[in-house]
Amino acid sequence: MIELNNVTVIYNKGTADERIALKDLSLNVEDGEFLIVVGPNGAGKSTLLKVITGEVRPFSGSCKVYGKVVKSERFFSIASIVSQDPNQGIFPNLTVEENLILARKKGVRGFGFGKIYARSLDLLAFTDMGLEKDLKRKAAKLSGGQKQALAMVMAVSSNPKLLLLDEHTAALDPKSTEKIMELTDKINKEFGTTIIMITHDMNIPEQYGTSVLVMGDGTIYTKIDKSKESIDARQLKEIIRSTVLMNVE
Amino acid sequence: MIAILEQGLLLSLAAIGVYISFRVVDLPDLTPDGSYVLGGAVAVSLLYAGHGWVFSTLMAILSGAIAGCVVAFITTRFRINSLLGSIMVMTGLYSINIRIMGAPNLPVPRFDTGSITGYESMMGGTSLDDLLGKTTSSYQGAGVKAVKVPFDNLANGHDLLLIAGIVAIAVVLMWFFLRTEFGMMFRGYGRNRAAVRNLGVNPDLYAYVGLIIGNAFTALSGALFSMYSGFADVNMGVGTVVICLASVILGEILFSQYEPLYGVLFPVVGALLYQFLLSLAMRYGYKIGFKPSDMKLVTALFVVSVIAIRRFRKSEVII
Repeated sequence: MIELNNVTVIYNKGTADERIALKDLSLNVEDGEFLIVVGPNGAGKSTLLKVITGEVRPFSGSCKVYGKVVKSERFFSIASIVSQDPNQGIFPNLTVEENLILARKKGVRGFGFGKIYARSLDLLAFTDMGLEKDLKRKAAKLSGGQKQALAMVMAVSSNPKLLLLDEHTAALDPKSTEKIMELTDKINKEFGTTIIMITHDMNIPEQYGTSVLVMGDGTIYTKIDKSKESIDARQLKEIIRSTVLMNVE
Repeated sequence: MIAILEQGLLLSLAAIGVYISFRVVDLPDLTPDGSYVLGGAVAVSLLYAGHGWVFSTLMAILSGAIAGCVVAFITTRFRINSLLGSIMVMTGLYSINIRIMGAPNLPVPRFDTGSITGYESMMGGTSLDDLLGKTTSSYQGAGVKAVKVPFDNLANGHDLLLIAGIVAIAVVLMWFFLRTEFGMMFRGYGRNRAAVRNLGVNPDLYAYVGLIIGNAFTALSGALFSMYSGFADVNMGVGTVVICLASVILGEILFSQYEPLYGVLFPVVGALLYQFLLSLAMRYGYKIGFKPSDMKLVTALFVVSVIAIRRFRKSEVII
């Protein structure tokens, strides 16, 4: 479980550029939850992820991941992160096969190499992008969608408990977005991986995720649990829009 | 022709070092200008001290590795750009090299000079002996004992075979290393440090390994060159980085899309071609008023033009 208690983050404190990125924010993310975070630019979505990874230290409040206060060095053995740039999560000068071999995280135990590799190939095949048949190809020569699929598979190959996705479909075309979202959903449902995903695509919260977090101005406007609240896609979209608009006004 | 190949292959070892730092781990490193001399200085000094050439060469490699380690420490610990860090080490090495040699240059003694510099021993006495009485020879023992080096400097193919053997071993070892899982991550680090960190691995480790291997190769090249040419000089490393970069670029242009042995062959073939072009320039260049000393200017212009062309094409950029 991820617990943020009264977290406040201030950038450039004490300077003319001082900016409050998160204001007294409290949030609980349960194991196995697929949380989709939406909100306008500057809402504090990316800062939220950075607090969880330990990249940004809160000015006040605390962040605990699986019962332990976050330290960036420990983060990488329990969690993976995929950003919007498809080149960030892969080694472009290595082949697809070499990328998969390296994807085994250090410090992860009880998960043999053969098993990791076989699962990686299965996940690649699931994306239906032909990557599993093109293992000797240099990653730099793949399309944006293929690169992101490879980055996703690498990120989950060691079975992390937590997967953080920072607008990982932002640079993709609609078809690739669909494939990557199907893969994301499969990872959550089949492996029980907790996922926190940031997006600007308002269609995604309708189809995917177990809950939706609407953020703005460094605070949480509302959190919608899709399993408890029986609302259809149109209603959900309307709630998100009206919440953001109301708070902005 | 044999001499061109020999010198080209000696240069190729330093070029492999520069290829590793500039290309594989993408940490531009200017230390080779100093570590090349360091290798020569350590090797020749140890030969003087009576050690064998194999031990001297190994110690030279170790000294280069230490220089690389210092650059890596400065670069990673203090988060200083590797170019700046390496300039500091290169500058410091100038003084260290003179300290090691005890002079700005040091010849490799090929002959036992103990008996011939002693005038008395040659003549059986000096003309002053009658005036001052018989003196004990002050020259005796002041000479230097000849040391054994692996090169005979004869165009009989012996030196070429030895150098080619050493280069072949170096290339094969590098190829094996780059094939391993560690080597894969090492190659990956050069293009995406963030991904290395995401996988729970400390990226600084690869900076250390890259700069250590790179400078060890350069020092090996300097040590062998000193033994081959018969001296170590504090200025013999000037321009090493640029010459090696030119060699790497020549190799890349020749092989174009291919990456034989993970690109380790680029510097080897490039250095041979560079040495060949250098010889041509020295042999026939005078006809157009070209002096051998102009070669470094031409090399620098060549490297700059290739960088400019690549920038223009928006393809891979060198530094």
